[in-house]
Amino acid sequence: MTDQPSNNSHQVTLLLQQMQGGKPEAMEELLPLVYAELRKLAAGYMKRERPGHTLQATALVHEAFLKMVGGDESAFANRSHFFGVAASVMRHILVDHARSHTSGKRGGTAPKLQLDEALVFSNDQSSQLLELNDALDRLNKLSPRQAKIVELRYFTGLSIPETATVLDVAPRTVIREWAVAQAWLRRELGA
Amino acid sequence: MGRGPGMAPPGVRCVSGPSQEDDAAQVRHQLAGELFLAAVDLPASEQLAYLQNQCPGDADLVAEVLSMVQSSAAEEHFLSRPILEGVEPLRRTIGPYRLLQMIGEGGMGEVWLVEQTHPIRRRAALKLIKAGLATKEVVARFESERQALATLDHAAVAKVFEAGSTPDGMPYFLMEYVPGIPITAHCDSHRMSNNERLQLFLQVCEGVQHAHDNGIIHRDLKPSNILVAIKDGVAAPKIIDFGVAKATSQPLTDRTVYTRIGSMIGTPEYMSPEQAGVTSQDVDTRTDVYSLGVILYELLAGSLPFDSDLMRKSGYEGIRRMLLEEDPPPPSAKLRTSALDSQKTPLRTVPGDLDRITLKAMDKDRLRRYASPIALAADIRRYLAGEPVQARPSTIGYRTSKFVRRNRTGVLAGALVAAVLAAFGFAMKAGVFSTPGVKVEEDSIAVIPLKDLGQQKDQEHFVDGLLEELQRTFRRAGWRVTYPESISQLQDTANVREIGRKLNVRRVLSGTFKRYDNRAKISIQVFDTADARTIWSEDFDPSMSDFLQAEGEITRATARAMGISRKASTTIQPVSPIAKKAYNEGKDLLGRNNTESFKAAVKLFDKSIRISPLFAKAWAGLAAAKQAQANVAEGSFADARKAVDEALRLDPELAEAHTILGNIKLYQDWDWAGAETAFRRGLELEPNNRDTLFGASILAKSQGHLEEALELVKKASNLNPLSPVDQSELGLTLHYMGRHEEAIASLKKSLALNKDHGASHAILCRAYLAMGDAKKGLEEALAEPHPIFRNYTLAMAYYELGRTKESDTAIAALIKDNSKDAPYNIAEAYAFRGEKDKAFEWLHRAVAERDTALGPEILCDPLIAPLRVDARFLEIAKKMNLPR
Repeated sequence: MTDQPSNNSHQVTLLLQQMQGGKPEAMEELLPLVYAELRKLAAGYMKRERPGHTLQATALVHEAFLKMVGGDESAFANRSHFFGVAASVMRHILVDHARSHTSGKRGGTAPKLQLDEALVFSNDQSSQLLELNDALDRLNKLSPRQAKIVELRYFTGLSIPETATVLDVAPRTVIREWAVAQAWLRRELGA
Repeated sequence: MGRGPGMAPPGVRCVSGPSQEDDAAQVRHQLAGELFLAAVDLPASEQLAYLQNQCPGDADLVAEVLSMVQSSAAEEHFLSRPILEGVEPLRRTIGPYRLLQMIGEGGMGEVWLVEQTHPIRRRAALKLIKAGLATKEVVARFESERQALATLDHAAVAKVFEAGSTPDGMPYFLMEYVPGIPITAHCDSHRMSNNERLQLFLQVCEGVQHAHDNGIIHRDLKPSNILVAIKDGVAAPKIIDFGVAKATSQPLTDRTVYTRIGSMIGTPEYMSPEQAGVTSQDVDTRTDVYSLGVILYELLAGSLPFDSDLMRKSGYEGIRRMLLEEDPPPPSAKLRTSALDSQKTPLRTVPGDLDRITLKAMDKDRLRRYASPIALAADIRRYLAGEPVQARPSTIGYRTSKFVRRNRTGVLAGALVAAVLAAFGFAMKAGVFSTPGVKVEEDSIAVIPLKDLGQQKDQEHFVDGLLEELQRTFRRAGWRVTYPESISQLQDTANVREIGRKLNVRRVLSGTFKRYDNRAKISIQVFDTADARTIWSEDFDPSMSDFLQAEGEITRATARAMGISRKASTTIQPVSPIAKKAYNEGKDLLGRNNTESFKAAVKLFDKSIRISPLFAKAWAGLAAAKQAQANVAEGSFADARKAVDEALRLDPELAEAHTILGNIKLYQDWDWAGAETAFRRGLELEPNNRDTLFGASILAKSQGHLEEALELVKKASNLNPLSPVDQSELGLTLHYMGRHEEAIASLKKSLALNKDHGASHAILCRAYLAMGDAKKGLEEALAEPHPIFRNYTLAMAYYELGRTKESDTAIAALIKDNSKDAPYNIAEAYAFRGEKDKAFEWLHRAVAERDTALGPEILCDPLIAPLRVDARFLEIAKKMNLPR
């Protein structure tokens, strides 16, 4: 395994700093790193969990963060930033997963993704998730913050205070916007 | 929340939005949100009135907010619980088996790699039969054969462990897991000869025979059921799925053929006519002989006897008719026609005896087939031994011709060989088929680019990084790894033995890859060039998002298999795929060796560094590109130096960076000791790095050590035997040493590799002039495509022929166009003409301009010899820090 924390963490920290310093292209590089780490962890997680336990996305992201930045203290200031990126990644992974389920095209001899083996979506869950994904894209045009809150709350399982920390807003704001976002999405999804 | 009625903030008013549409929508959405939050806590009866009051005249908004309020009133919604809380992990065990990975999926069900923990710990393949097939019947049928299956014990037969049904009633089979690829794919990807294919096939025949001897018929033999796995370095076929077909088969009818085609059993292409017949119960061991015949056909001809598409389209009746009535063309004819269709020369031909053996095995009448797999194998062995085969009417003429041919070899040996030996004996002693005098050591390898099996053929860049890591790992372990330039000179059709001969290596690594969405399939093989044997083969299926890590794993696995200790394997820094791609493209451009490509390469390396600032190799690439530009006076050495410093700071063990540093110190700084330190460090890290050896050779030349320079450039060119550059430099060094004949041979080789290679004609001219053949010298000068080299050699050749005027013209042209970039060549021309003053004048200009030709040549260039004994030379030597 090449996950020697020194190399990786140094780079992840640097990228996080660059993003905070207003360099969006750092995101381009951070995404695949986070993506790979989350996938790897998700698979390992499933092996450790006892049957019947469910996957905790938050724990997963926490662990990914600790793994990727190692003991680098300066990175801790960037934890919330990392969660912001990880939330998008989690959404991506899960939507991809749902898509591969519904398309029914499970790729002949091509072996499956690790996460696919670890999770089972019902057909209903899959199509629901895809619809939500589209609606979320529309919501993002109307209110990027509300869309981000949905990613953090729904896809990553963050609590209200955690979400507030990541977005650097008051918990009250999260409560209000989350309520609006849910109502808007429920209406969009015809619930 | 708890906001009371009537407490809506003052900002909640219907105002006209800003001009931009998106902004307007955002403002409206925000407004809707505020209204929603205010309305949601009101009693349901007051909500409508409140909203109408707040937004008079915007009925749409009122309706939207109202429906938001109403939908939020409904109870539990999926959004209110984080997604993963609602997701159950897959049940990952079936009975005592833990599911590890799905390895196959088909119409009949799924195949999983599983781990069994009890009663023994082992890995196995678990075949789950899809619901729908009568479970009881399947298990019962399997049970009846179970005892017999348990007795099967043959190297070419995968073990069947057990059969049963899962708690929810799916029948399953547990079998030995065979990590291999179908026999046909294996043979093709290894470009095996007929005989190599036959050797594998013989083992298959023996395995099937073993089963027959134990009363088991396979009934579904096909390449995907005959997997070739590499064990202990040897490729061995293994037949899987014994017992499955019998247990799961149903009578073939028009109705079932469609469900069976393309599913895991009953593939019509390999089905015997009697299996396709109405009375399908009536099959015996000879049905397997037929299927073996089809597989042999496919192995030899490269395609199936009947057109698969046509077969699948024609339905049950069509298949039956084809199998019962149509005669397939012999494999040799099939091979020729498919070669014609694809406009390629076939790699093999199929001799008549093999045609006949194949068609006999596939005879529609099973009475005329070989009676058993072992009878088929025996006939193949006869063919291999050069004896008459059974699959032929035994006429006396045939037997005689075959006998004579067999014994002619003996006759030859007795009568002719003596004469042959008399003529060529010395050549045979030296080994006619290898480069004479050069021992091909075991740890030498050519890494051939993997073949992209994808439709688009546009994914090459993504394995470039892997190839580079592999090469680097071998180099660091002290292996001789062929330089990429020479690999690119190979023909696509070159086979392993040919590659070994041309590149003078003992091992060849090659393989294939294909990208599927987010996954890739990579297959790697290592061959021995002495006998084209596969030494090692392994398949990998990394996910694209993990690809950087996969590069490391594949490299380590390969290194391990080649006996390279882990220490030599390199750790790969995590680098963005985008940065890697830019880097790979930059490297490619850098290799094209022209000013335009240097410029483009600089841009790509810059991009790569911008994305991944810690990517040491990209810094080294930038340094190399900047240095290449500076060499043709288009960039600055300062930039190159900065980049190489950064590369070495990030990775002090990067041999290529030490090499670039050495080159800068050599060509630009005239810091001979510094250059030596850099090259030494580079060679410590990678003793067989062509670039470092090449640089070190030039350094040796610059110090006047020609013997050492020759040894080093020979080593470099041995790593890069198909390079015009290396041959040209070898020629120059030999010429400087006065070994003109050898020099001419190298230079001609250089031009054979690239007839337009700049400098080779010029050096040839100099060699001929030195040998006193001015006429030939002139011919070569005239043939030189590079204007600088052409003019300075023309000036010398014309002068030697007494055509002074033309010589003057050539020098004048050189001075007019190249006074800044070729002062050294001008000095050489004047020195040749005996005009010492002018020669010194231009040498001084070369020093002032830091002409990059100066350092490497000045101490050993025979043209400068008369100047070196002149007192004026001391000043130049001093300026250049040259040894006395």
